[in-house]
Amino acid sequence: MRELIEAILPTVLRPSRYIGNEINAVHKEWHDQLKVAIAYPDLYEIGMSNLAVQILYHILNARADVIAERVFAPWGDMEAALTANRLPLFTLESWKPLNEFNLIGFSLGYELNYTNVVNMLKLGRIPLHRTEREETDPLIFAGGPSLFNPEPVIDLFDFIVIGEAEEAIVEIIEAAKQTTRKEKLEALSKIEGVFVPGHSVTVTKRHIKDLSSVPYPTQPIIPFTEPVHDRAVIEIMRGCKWGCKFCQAGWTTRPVREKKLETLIDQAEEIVKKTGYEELSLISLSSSDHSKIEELAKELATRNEKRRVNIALPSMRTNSFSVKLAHEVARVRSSSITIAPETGSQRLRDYIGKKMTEENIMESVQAVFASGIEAVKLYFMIGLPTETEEDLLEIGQLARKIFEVGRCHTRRVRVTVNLSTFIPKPHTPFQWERQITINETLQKQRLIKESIRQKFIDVRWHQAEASFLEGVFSRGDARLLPVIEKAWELGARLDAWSEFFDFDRWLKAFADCGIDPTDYLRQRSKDEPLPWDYIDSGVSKEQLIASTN
Amino acid sequence: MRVQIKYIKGEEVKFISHRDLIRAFGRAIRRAEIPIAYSQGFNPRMKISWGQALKVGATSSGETAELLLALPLSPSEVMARLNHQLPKGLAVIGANLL
Ligand code: SF4
Repeated sequence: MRELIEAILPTVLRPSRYIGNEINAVHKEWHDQLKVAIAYPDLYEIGMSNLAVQILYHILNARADVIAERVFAPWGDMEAALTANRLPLFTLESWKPLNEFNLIGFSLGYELNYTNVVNMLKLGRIPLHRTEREETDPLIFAGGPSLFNPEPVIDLFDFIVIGEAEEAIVEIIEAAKQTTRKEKLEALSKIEGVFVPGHSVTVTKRHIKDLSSVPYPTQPIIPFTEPVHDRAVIEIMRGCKWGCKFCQAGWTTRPVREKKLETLIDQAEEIVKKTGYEELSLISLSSSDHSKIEELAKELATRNEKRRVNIALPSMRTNSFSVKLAHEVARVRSSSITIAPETGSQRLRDYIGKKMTEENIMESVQAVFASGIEAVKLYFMIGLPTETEEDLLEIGQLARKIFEVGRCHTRRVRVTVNLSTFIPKPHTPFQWERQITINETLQKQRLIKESIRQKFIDVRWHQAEASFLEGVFSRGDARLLPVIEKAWELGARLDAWSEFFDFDRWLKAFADCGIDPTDYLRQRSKDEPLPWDYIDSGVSKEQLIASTN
Repeated sequence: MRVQIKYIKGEEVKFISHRDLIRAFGRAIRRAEIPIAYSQGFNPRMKISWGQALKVGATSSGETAELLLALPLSPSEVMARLNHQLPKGLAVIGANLL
């Protein structure tokens, strides 16, 4: 197999996606350890920027009784080469076929990656459905944000993990050491946060109580080929206290937990020394909420001054404090700043629970332009509940106001307006709302585009068809797996990539399965059962209903 | 001070591109705390001159690069520190002052 792989590598784009051997990658000799494949159903460059992949790899490989290796979705050329040479999909570290592993865990964060899961299991020569797997087949599991509604893909997995996995994974390893498949599944079903179809009835989200005490990958793998986020990352807190009604991450990662200042400084020191990265990014959902953010950022800026490491603070609240702090600690001035007002009008912003005022926005951009930054990227959602045409027109008005502020500072202002379609997500107060259709999306996009017409304000949008599919699967049910398989048969994979995405394939798949996808966009009534009712995210339906107003 | 290094690109890394190889060296130099000189300006770069790019898939035991140091460090120390930090398949096999 090695020779064959060696022969195809020079023929594919960026072969280093498939070969391992990066700094901090762990290559172990295969003995009787438990073999775990960490599978990420998108390209290497995306998967390697995913913190969960690095965290699990680190925790698992720290154990002598486990080997953890990585596998990503192959690009089209690699898939063709594997198929032409009758090669199975293999892991990066040992180049072993997927079906030689005991456990394969997928990290799912985006519904458009579902066909990649099917593709990877097929290429890995693993029976697709859990019910078809036999005693010697690997156990296939999944975790990640998409699993807060697992129904469309649940039949692919022997078990799933809901919530944070740092502690659960250790218990999973122990359970997987049982002898028979049946014993393993029984042991797995007893783990908090794990759901085993056929064994479990409900499952409650797992979360870490003390973030400072769980292992953190301060020696992350450093990709050879450039990943989307090419920097050292320290996670400073989890959860978000703001409770915006549309935000699944905010609701499902509760409660808010901070990592201690001393832990953060130690982890930051270590990661900078062990990686050689030029940038250290302090991440969380809303970093300015960390009680020690100022102290932390300034301390790290001082310590890293001589090492030429830039300190970046993405995801700060929109206010002048945040802008000033970010500016103060950055070595390299960023070329642009991102703000997410979500809506054009204050009325709608208040309605969706985004606690940001136009005053906050204007004082921030004032500070941003004053610091010498010339570009502002704005993120808005269209199709929100109660939205009117007036709300949409105010998007352009806000963008123009910001542009005018910039003009007072520089002639090279650039404002970008990014439009995404609102997708009602499970476990949020908006989970019952209607999602707009593709046509409505296109109309709204056009309306905004035409209302702006300014050379230096760029309007961009997320592809309406992709948001449509994401919406269908986000609130989908088990009837959708046959559609996913059908679309895969018709050639769908790498749907998150415009080079590969073909909406007609999906329409055909829905039609072949006799399913009207638009039905999934409809408004749900508060008393109807929802496909994800058996997943307890830690926030009850009553609480969500109470938060809708 | 200028130090010329001679290095091998072995089996483990023969499929990485020249650009990726340069990035890997850059990070290793930073981890090894070698006092490399940087260019001036908005986007400072390490002062290193690289030889011809190898074809992807080819190994070599005689590649060279020249490092400009901002502070003195003996060539043998440069070599030792780098070898401690380079990924498998990359190794410095000689270093001398220019
Ligand atoms: S949108 Fe941002 S501030 Fe609002 S809940 Fe989500 S993470 Fe928090």
